[in-house]
Amino acid sequence: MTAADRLYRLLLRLYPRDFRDSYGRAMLDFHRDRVRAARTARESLALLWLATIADVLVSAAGEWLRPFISGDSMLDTIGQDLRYAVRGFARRPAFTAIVLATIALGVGANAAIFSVVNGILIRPLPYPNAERVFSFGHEPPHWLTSQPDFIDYHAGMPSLDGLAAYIRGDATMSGGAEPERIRVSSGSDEFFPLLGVRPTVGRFFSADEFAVQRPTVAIISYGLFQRRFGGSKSALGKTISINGVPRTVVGVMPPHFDFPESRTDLWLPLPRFNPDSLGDRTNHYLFMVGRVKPTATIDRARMEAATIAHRIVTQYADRFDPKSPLVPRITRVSDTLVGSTQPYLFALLGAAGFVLLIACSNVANLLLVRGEARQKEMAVRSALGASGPRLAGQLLAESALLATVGGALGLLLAWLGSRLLLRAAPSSIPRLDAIGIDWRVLLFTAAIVVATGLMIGLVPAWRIARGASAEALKESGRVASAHGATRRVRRSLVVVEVALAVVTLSGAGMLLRSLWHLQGEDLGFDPHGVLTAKVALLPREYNEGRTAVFYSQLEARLGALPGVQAAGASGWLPVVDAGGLWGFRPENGNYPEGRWPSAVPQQATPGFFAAVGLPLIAGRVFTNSDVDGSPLVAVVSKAFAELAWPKQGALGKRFRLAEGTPFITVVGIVGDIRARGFGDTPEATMFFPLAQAAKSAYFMPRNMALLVRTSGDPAMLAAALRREVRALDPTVPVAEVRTLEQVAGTSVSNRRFSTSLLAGFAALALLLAGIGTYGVISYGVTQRTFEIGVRIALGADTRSVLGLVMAEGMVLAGTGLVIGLGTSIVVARFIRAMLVGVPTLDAPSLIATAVALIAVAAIASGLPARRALRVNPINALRGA
Amino acid sequence: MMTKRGTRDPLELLPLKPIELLVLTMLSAGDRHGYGIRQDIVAHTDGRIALEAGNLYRHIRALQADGLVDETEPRPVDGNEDERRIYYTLLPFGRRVLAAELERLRELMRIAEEHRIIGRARA
Repeated sequence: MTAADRLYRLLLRLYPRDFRDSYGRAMLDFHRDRVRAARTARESLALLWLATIADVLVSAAGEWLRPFISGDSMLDTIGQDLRYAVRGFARRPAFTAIVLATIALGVGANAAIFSVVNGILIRPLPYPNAERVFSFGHEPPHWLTSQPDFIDYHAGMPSLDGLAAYIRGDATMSGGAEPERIRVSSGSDEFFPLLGVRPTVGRFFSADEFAVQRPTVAIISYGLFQRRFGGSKSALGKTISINGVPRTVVGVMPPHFDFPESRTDLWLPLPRFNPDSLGDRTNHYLFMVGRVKPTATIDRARMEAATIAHRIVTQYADRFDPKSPLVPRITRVSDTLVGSTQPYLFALLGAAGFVLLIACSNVANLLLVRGEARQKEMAVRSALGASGPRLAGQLLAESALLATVGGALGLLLAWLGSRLLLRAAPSSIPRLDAIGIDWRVLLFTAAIVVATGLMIGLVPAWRIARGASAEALKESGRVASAHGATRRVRRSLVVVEVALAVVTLSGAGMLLRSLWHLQGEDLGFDPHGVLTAKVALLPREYNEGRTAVFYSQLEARLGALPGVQAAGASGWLPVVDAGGLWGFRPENGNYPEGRWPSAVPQQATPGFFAAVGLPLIAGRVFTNSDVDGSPLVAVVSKAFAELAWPKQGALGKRFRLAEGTPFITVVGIVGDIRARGFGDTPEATMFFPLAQAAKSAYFMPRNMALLVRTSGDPAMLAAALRREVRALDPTVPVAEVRTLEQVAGTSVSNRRFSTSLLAGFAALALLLAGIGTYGVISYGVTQRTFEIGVRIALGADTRSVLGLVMAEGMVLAGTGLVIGLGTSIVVARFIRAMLVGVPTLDAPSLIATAVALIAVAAIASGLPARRALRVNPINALRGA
Repeated sequence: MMTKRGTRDPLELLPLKPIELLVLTMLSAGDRHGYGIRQDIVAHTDGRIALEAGNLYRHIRALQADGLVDETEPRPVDGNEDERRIYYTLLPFGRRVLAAELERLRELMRIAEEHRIIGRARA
């Protein structure tokens, strides 16, 4: 079956079932014959489809309404109007194509953006009662929750249906062809029940599986189920090896279940906490998720949590700095998932709406022009007895047809567009897989098609139904000039278009400048020319000694690769993995007992500083002699030095992490880094040599990020990096190989994505406004050929003719510009939250907008002005 | 299809709609498939009336419901076994209705000729 057949079959679905059953086949045959004949005769297939779609719409509506309408007279009228409209459009293919393309662009942009908004914001989350589910943490600097806090909250909040703690992290899954890094979440017993989602296959964890300290069961994601087990139910009961520990698969979650993260592959039971040996109150490492009872509100839960937190802080006053008390933070899961994306989506939807309005103004203008050319036809029909409403109905039928066909094309564009969007979208945008065209998008598109039909049709219909008087008949063969009123309407439409384009442009301009401002920020490290990757060692196979040797050897091997300037490893990578926050006790620091400052810990090999490009301010970085057994050392950031020993100089000073841990000497001070990427504020950071980490910094990480700085293209190093790791140990997985620039870019990728879309819309708006201005001015020149001819004949020079035409365009554009700039200032207040480093009244954006607009207006009125110069006075006066 | 109409008076169905009249007239020359009907009409109206599928089949539906035409089992087009089409055939009752409609038109024509609106057709 060909594509044309398929499309026609789709159209046939519009008919009532019994009609389709009786005639569908015959109609498809009919249509095939028709297409074949058109091909043979080399007729336009576009027109054929236009006629076909119009026919289907009318006759399908007729069939549906048949039972309700006795006699077909009204439908016959509409059908007649539509058929008449199709014939009219078929006679002007260029006009029709321009109108359809404009509408398709406007509708398509809206439908595409709406499909994204729908997927991310409107479609319900894949858990029942999502509006009652909230994530629960603390305000910074605590962020998360400790075990005793969790127990207190769990026991003390009567408005809750359930409260669960969970942790998340990476793990190595082995047993397949290649070891694979996966995302894992461990949740306490109420985790799944409170989210209310059942596994599609298998079961939840049972109560006794939370009682053991080393659980041996796992629930896998639908993605992993497909990837690893080919979607076969025999996966249940199979054993997979997670970090070297065998685990039995007992369940598979449904597709789209993406809590706590969209890329979670595996869920494990979080063993019940032992009330006798709870962790420290200040060890905040647990995430929480809860659900309020149907009878309670989130605000009630917030109050209860605040009361408990207050009690904790009062009771353990020695553990909390009064400057940073424990403040609960409770947000709806839906808001957490999509919160930061929301303003961008609304801005995009707004811009798409503006594009549609501009497109509609353009089309309305074209129809008005065409309407003027048809004054006579209308007058004749009116004289033959067609009533005003009847003529208006005819015009509305035409615009409805245009809107519908344009809208259908637009939907096609939107479908293509949303696919492209999905491919281009950064994966950090939440719920991408929920984006697509569903009934909500179709309904929305239908609504804007109706709105479009009315917008483009009402003004011309109203004008013509009123203007179709005997006046037109009386006029001589030459239509002297547009009716004053119609002309005013058309000029106002252009002013509105220009104003809308100005608002879109200036908004996009301000967001662009925000993006540049952010990207221009100094990260504190140099992301150019660096390749990064993640490697993970199994703790069972690598003790602390072996781990240190492995990374030291790897660093030497990578450093010896041709073109490599520096190589190193660190416990976490800036931007993508935010480091934790540990308390520390500076020796002779001015801190009262128990109210210690905290800083971000980082474990690093000697080559790390050069590889990431952190400048050394004083002292030295690590060397290969900072190993287990030699004196414990640390390098700290400038902010750390200021925090620990303000204005004293930190070199040679000592600090420790907790009572009873050894003192560590500061041997070097490096610059501050924005660890969370552009827009972040640098935090105090302390660096420990990896080889000493087990002694000085609680533990030695087995999973490290590699950084390799090269003079050439860092991406070219990927194969060599994998080869070197494999040479040391072929069972070690290498993951997330990408450049540090890509890593740094992820902190602005959402913003960059939406800003470039917005810039695209702004360009489209400018283009359409330019076309609109051109249309009006150019038509004006045609109308005034006689006048211009007279002026030239009377000796008007080039400049005055040019000025005459250009002035009109510039006045229109200027008026629109002033209105638009005024509106932009109001609109800017709505996007203020998205602006960074750009004032709400941003002169450069506004000036650039004005310049771009005036340039386009000059082109749009300059082209018709040139045509005016070529007017031959003799022909013009003869009245050609 | 003949159930309720075997004994009906053809005059009850008059006047026919212009398209119905055209379709019945084309079918009176022999069975046609849908596209064939369209092509005949195009040919006989100098291309002024070119029916689209939906419009045509709605009329066929009405004609079928009134028992004027019926459809045949799919049969080959021009003896080509691969190309099978549903053909439409004029039923005897349809022929009577068509004849009645044409009689009505002849009566109108006579009046038009008497009033000198159109010239008398030569026999």
